[in-house]
Amino acid sequence: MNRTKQLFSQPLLLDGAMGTMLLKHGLNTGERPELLCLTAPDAIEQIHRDYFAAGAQVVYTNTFGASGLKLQGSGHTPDQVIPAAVAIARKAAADFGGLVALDIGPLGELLEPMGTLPFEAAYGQFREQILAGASGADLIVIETMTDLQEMRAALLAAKENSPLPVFCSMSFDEGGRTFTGCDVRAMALTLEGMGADAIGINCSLGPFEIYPIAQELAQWTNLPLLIKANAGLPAVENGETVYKIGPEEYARGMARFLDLGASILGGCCGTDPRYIAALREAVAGRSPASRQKVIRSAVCSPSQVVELDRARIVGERINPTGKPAMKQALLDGDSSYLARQGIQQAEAGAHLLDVNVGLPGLDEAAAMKQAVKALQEVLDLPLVLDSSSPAALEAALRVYCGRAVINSVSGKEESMAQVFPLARKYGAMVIGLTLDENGIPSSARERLAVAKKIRDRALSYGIPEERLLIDCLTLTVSSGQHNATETLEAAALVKRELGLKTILGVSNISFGLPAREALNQAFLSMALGRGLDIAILNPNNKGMMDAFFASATLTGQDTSCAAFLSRFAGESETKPLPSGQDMEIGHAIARGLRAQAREACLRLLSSLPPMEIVNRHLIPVLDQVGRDYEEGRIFLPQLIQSAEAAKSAFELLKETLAKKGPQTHSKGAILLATVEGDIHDIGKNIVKVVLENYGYTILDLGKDVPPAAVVQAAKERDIRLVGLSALMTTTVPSMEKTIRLLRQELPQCKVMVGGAVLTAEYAKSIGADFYAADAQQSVQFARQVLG
Amino acid sequence: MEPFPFPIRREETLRYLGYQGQPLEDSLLEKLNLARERIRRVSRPLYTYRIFPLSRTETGLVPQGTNLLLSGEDIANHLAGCNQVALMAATLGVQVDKEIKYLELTDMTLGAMADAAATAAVEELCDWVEVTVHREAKCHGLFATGRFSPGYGDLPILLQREFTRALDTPKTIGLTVNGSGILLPRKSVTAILGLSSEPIAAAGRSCTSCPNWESCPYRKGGTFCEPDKTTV
Repeated sequence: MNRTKQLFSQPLLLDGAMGTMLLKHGLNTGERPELLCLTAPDAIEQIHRDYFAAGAQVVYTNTFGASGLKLQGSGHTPDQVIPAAVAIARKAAADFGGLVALDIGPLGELLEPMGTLPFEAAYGQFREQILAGASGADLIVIETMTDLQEMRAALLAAKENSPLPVFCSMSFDEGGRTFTGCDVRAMALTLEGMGADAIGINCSLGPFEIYPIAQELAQWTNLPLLIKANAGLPAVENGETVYKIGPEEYARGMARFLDLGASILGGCCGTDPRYIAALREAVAGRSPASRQKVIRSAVCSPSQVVELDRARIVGERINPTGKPAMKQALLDGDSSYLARQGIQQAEAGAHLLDVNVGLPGLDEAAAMKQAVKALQEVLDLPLVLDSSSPAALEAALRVYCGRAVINSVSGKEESMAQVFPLARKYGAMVIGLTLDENGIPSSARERLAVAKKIRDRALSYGIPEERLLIDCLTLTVSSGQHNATETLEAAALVKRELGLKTILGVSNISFGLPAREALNQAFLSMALGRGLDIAILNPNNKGMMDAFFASATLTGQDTSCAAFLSRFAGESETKPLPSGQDMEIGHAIARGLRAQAREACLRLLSSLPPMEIVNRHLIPVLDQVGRDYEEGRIFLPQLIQSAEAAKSAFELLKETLAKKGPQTHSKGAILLATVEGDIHDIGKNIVKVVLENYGYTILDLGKDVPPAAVVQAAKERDIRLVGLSALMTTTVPSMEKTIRLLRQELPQCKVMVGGAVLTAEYAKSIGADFYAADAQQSVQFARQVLG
Repeated sequence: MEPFPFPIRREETLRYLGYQGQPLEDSLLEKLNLARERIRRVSRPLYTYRIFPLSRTETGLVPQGTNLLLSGEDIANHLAGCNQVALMAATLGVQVDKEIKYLELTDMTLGAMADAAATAAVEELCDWVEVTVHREAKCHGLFATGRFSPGYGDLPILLQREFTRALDTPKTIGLTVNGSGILLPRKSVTAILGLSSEPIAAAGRSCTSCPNWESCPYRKGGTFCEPDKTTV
């Protein structure tokens, strides 16, 4: 039998634990087991032989922790350890006709955006391992992952650097989630989309605890399933980790996976050759149950799966077109603004978020990547990546964790040739626009024809129908009244004749007409009435959202009217909130009341110019609040609350000023950053809110910012004051480095620093001009420097 | 996974916010309760500990069977008379980090409160682990010290990497260390407890003998790191 065929023989038996065997041989906790490939090759070979003799058809190389990161400080590199490990396994396999799997485990560091390891750095680590070992192996296994993003980096590295089949398995807790909150369904959608050859579950749990999770997994993938369970749940006895299930019981539990159609079985922690022998016996003569084909139209983030089995909403607000504040945020690289827009739409009820950051003069690929990270750092909603640039799409798809939607491909040859390969490689869904080289066809039938062309081409790229969404394009009725009916008819045809899901951006229908909202709502309802699956709209618009939920209820898509009822529960009892009752602005700010502060400010605007309000009302009360804080009359949350209330008034003033013209009223720009290596940025964020209220423009570079990036931004924006924060003793050196570089390149620039481990003396010793013990003190120094 | 099984104490949360008895309006207390509840809901508390015999070498103390070197005077004092150590690690999980960031973006006050609530929660979890270690020590007729973490006094914080390796925390509880020695998820703690066959001298430490005297944020703010401590 040739090797690849043997791989998918049914069932395929894998080996059991390596670590457990090595501990039995006297390996120390905290020692690197991989180094034994160099120091005790015979012992490793014997373990492989024992597993083959017990009936395993595949052994995993002893390279679980052989990444450059994990070998750091060992005096060895992956290039030394991995080929040795592969050779040992190969030697053992030769006598048994067995197969060798190059084993890849986690790096031990958390990837962005949850952690600090960049995706491409992780990719580089995995690539190095794969290049070192794949040539001698029959397949690659990536196992025991708990972060879907890390799994993606490894899978991508395997696929891009080797032709071998890749098996992927992750570790779950009894609730069916990994440590990082990854859902087994999201794992299935993501990894199957990216071309894994088998997926499954290993480690953490015993066969009985894994069973229900595997059951769920089987319903979300058509790939071969792999299960490598522990010998029960780990328990600690006398300081040693022990596993309680014996070989017979283990084999019984494992054999049940055949009923789910799982075909690749082996052992993890606590197992040894006896377990594999028992498993071989238990599955002898049995075949995995045949599985039903799974067809699901769904997208996901690691922790949230959205099935497109009923009407859904895509929030359209992350798009700079016609939004000056969004434009400015993109130009400033202000990710928190984008994230806030995302949160707002999520809270308003969006199911997916469209992300468009195309702006002339902006590096769209870099901006897309940053936007995806910023949104995935705080939100679980799946994203729709909206760009006409293939480079920007690929940059976003690479770092997006989960299954995204690409917006969009069209029926143009060039577009299909550029976009479909991306959709295939990254496993994304894709929106097909019914237009081609001849423009947008006017009739519904012609649009159907374009949709069919897109569908056929997608299939030829191996992208199944359930990963396609067709947008029949909304044209304004002001340019032809038939536009609405043709679009609706086209969408209905696509659904009926091609069986594809449809999506529409609705608000274009009313372009150039009065009472747009009335038209938009009516059109949305009509579209949903004719079976539209996904509407792209502004979720912050209550009228549109109400129309969406009402229509979903009337079309029966909202089963038992559940979504409708939960949206409008208690609505009839809602009374208008009592207004600020003419609360004085100082009082509202001192008490931290945002809405009241804004209202009071609005009243003042009828009699005072904005800058007068800042100087006569806002600043005096902020100074008073600052004094109260310094003298202990109020404490931190009260200071922040007041700052946020003042900010809401201040924002109103900024809007008013912006309407009057482009002149600036800023007292000067201050750059803030949390230094490289450090991610504790809450202190810096509090400083930002406080400083903004005193009329300074804040350029916030975020956290983990390299010294060169601080200097570059300071140069570009002609910054005179930089504020740096570091919370850890280990990151103060990187603060010092940043200050040194600033002194070198921008000697006239002043630097203030803050953070828990700093003191005035410490700050001085690393060359800072000023130590701000708290947010209020940063104001003092800003006044000295900028006035 | 269960949400946080202990109450997150209001007093502790307030203390991490630098509270010194200022009058508190109801709206602020409501927000504080919301912050505590949201952190409690998203926490996935996990911990692990193991007990090792302690070797004393020229360069410092080594939990046997690990590659961990505990250097410096402060840990030596802490472990005086101990012949075993318990290494412990505890975390609230990544969802807590995400929640804090989310709240910070929507309401900075709530974000700061949630951050403090999470600190209170992870300390609460550590107290629980400490009690568990003390109980186990007692079963073996031993006495245990309080906990001492990398980064306290002159015990290097860069130990974190080897420390987490000794307990295999990425695999057992999902706790990792980044290139700067920062624990991720952020609301996590590693600590060392000594075990001795002799009773441990009274645990009460004074601020002046504390290795953190220089940088202690509580002392700077005029409060104390332990609720019942009142003397400098």
